[in-house]
Amino acid sequence: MAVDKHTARWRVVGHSVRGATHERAGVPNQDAIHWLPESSAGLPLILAVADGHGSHKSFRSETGARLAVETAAQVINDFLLGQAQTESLSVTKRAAEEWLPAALTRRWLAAVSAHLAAHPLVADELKLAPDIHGTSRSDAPSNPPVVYGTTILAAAVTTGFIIYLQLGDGEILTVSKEGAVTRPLSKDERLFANETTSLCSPDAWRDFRVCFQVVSNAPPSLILLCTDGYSNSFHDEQGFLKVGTDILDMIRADGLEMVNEHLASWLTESTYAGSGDDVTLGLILNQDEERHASVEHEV
Amino acid sequence: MSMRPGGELATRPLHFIWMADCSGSMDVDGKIQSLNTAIKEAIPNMQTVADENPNAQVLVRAIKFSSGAQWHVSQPTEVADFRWEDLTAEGVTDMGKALTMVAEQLRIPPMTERALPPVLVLISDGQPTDDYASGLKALMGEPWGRKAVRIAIAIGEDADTEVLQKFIGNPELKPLQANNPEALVKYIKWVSTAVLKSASSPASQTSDSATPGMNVPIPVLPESVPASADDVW
Amino acid sequence: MSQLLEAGQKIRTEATGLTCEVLKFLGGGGQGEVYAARVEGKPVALKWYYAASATIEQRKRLETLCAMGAPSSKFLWPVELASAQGVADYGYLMALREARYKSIVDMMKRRIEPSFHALATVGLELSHSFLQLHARGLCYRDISFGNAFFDPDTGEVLICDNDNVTVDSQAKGGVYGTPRFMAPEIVRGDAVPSSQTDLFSLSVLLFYMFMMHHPLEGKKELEIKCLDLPAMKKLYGTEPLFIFDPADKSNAPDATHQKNALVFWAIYPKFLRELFTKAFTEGLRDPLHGRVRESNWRASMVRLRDSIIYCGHCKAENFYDADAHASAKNVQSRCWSCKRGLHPPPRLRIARSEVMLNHNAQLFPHHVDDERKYDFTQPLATVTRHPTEPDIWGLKNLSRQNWSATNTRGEVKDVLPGRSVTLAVGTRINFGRAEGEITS
Repeated sequence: MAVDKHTARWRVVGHSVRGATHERAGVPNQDAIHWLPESSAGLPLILAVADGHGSHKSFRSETGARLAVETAAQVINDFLLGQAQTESLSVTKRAAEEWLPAALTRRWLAAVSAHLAAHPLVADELKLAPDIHGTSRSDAPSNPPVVYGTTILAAAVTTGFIIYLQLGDGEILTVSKEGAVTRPLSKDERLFANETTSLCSPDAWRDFRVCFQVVSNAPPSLILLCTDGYSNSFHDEQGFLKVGTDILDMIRADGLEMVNEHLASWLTESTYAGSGDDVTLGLILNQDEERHASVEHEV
Repeated sequence: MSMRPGGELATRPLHFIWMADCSGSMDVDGKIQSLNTAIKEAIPNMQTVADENPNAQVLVRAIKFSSGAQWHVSQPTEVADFRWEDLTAEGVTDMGKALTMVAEQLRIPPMTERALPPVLVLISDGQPTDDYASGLKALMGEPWGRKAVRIAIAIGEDADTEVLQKFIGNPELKPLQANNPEALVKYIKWVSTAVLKSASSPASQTSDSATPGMNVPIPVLPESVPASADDVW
Repeated sequence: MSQLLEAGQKIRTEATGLTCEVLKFLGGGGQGEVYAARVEGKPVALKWYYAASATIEQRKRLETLCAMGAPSSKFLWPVELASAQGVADYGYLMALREARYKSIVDMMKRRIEPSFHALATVGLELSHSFLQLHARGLCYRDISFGNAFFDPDTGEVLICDNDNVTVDSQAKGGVYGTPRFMAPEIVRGDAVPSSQTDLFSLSVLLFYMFMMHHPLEGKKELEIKCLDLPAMKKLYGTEPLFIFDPADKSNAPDATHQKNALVFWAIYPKFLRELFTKAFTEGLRDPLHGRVRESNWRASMVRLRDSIIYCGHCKAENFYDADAHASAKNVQSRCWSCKRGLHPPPRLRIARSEVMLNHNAQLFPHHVDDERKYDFTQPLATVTRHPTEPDIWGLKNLSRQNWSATNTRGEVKDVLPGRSVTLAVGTRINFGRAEGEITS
């Protein structure tokens, strides 16, 4: 069965900045970002972003986040290669919705176990200050995944479709050619007031949200992934969604490289003036959008 | 291209609400004066915490309850501008009303979704004299009510700690028992520093599900049907 | 983000020639996109195909389906084809699905937590509906999570995505389903979809609903590093093995990663486990004679629902396993959730049914009248508590007929509509066309 394909080229850029609060406290950046291919161009293109919980129970969450983005990108990459021979998009869609979350979770859990085996918990890690609710620290050694607890967001672009997946808080936005900003994944009402679903929760595969978007004649121009430190830095929802349209306009005017160069300073400004949290933003650009910019710069 | 994309940036609001019992019994043994002093002493500490956590915008309010309930400081006030007018004590203990009024303020709007979890500090020396349970239900009916950090300070031996425990809603956290002015000052200070600090930069929490058990009536066979009981009714 | 149609766009219905206005993009699948739309002021849903799926064959199939009409109101069926000048391809109109219906995906994602009572009702309505579909000479072909919707409170079912339904044994070409739900003979390429293969898919769907896990995905599934076509073909087609196969444990569920299967399997009564075992042992190997038939599932779902009991401590639904009790009379069963002892209520035995008389139990025409089997429309009896003596429970007559009750002393009394008869061991109740006895 023939599958619609589009012919655009795609590129990914992104950056992560340690939060103002963490700078002051001497805590490392617990967000992570990763993409494949490492050259940042070519299909299939996969971007993953993660936000380590950073709570007293999840004291290795920056490692957890790093492992999450690396394993997510790899698992999705392998999945896409494996699905290349399937005849129908429905098969791939169902596999993406039903198999991928569980496979991703298992691979992360395996990576976490391997890390823990190679780096057992030290006395300092077990002696962390109790939080105001005085909950016992007894579940730290007996439930290793909690120690590495993190969220995970990912987007993967292929010639025939785009997969968006998310576990926990954070935002995924798509911007159309006309500048309309939408969320491909429906909101999860459980994510409220800093409470999040997590890769370390039992049965985490059930908490994933997946969207499989067949690409026919109008793929998005821009896809954004960010951790909630970024979205929480804006005064309101509209202010945050405007990021999508603004960045697309900037890319059309000045090209992706210019935007990439400014990312670090924008994110730094956001955390200092906004949420104080670690801030990570990744962008996948449909390079058809850049054509007029590059044409203008031709000598 | 120095303009940052997106709209206005803003720090996250953190609402801190003192809920003080001003019933007649608080006048005995200078309890209300101790409370006033403790809160006033705490303000500079709150200021320090706020300065150290610039990404949380601490906004303080206070509600008092005795016969009825009233906002003592009704506008969310930045700590730098927060002034404490002494409370006086007289009347009964309409705690339920205070809870209901706080619940109304925790609705969205006026609250927003991106706020930090609010901190509610309930201070009482006695028993509620009104429908306390409906007030608590209203509070817990609001998502921000459920997510709020709820602390309770019991002043003196006559305080109803069971009611305060229900307000806290977390079996691992007990009401703080203040039986003398020093203890009260200590607890108020703790709430306005350690608790405030922790609430200012909360880490993400994964939820634990707790399912309180409930009894369900199960039809039983009568051990022996009394002779007088009708078979059909 | 929709790609095919836009809000405000106008499409024409082919048979009736009316204008349909596109309102809002609702979602997209592998074959097309669905929109909320309006025809003559009335809200409808409009599905529009991607170019690659908008084949002549699919069009013909839709024409047949529109002409036939739905087997029952439980199917959200294509109503009419739609197209427009200057717009590529075509689509079709159908009713909008009400918001109260959620899919099994919602259950898997923990957005809804239906009770066992609701699930048994879903199982009953699904089996009943598929029986009706097959009785019409049609086959579904593409049963999966995405098509079965239900109301989590009542268990009422709505079967969607019916545009791949075909006349039985004419199903060549088009969608064959997804490997996880397809019968092994189709995965292997040895057969095309038919009502026999539908039976397999139905059993997978039911297993998934009750066990929150796939029947063929045990240890062997964990060994797959890369889910590609050869791997899927092997797991679901050439070497399928039930995770609870009594003779071969090599595909048993892993205790860490596949816990749901183990936890839930232990909760259900023996008769249900035996039925699933048959479905995935004989049912795997013998498409013609080995599969569990819809009428069998249907009867089992009613039996399952009637055997629900409640834990007096934590309120969780458990099941009264008559077979287990028969073989071990003095062993007290424990609640699967809180582990404390279960105290089953009295039971009513009528003909071949056994109904647990819980505080909320109800009897329907199905239970008391052989001519009205599977009639669950209106309850004709409900368990009730004595208004002044809380220790006395009764069965209230909600029907329009008199019953007569005979107590253990042999006394016969009338139970007029609206009255209740005390639940006592040995009491027999005559409902008109059937008689039941209360036992403990």
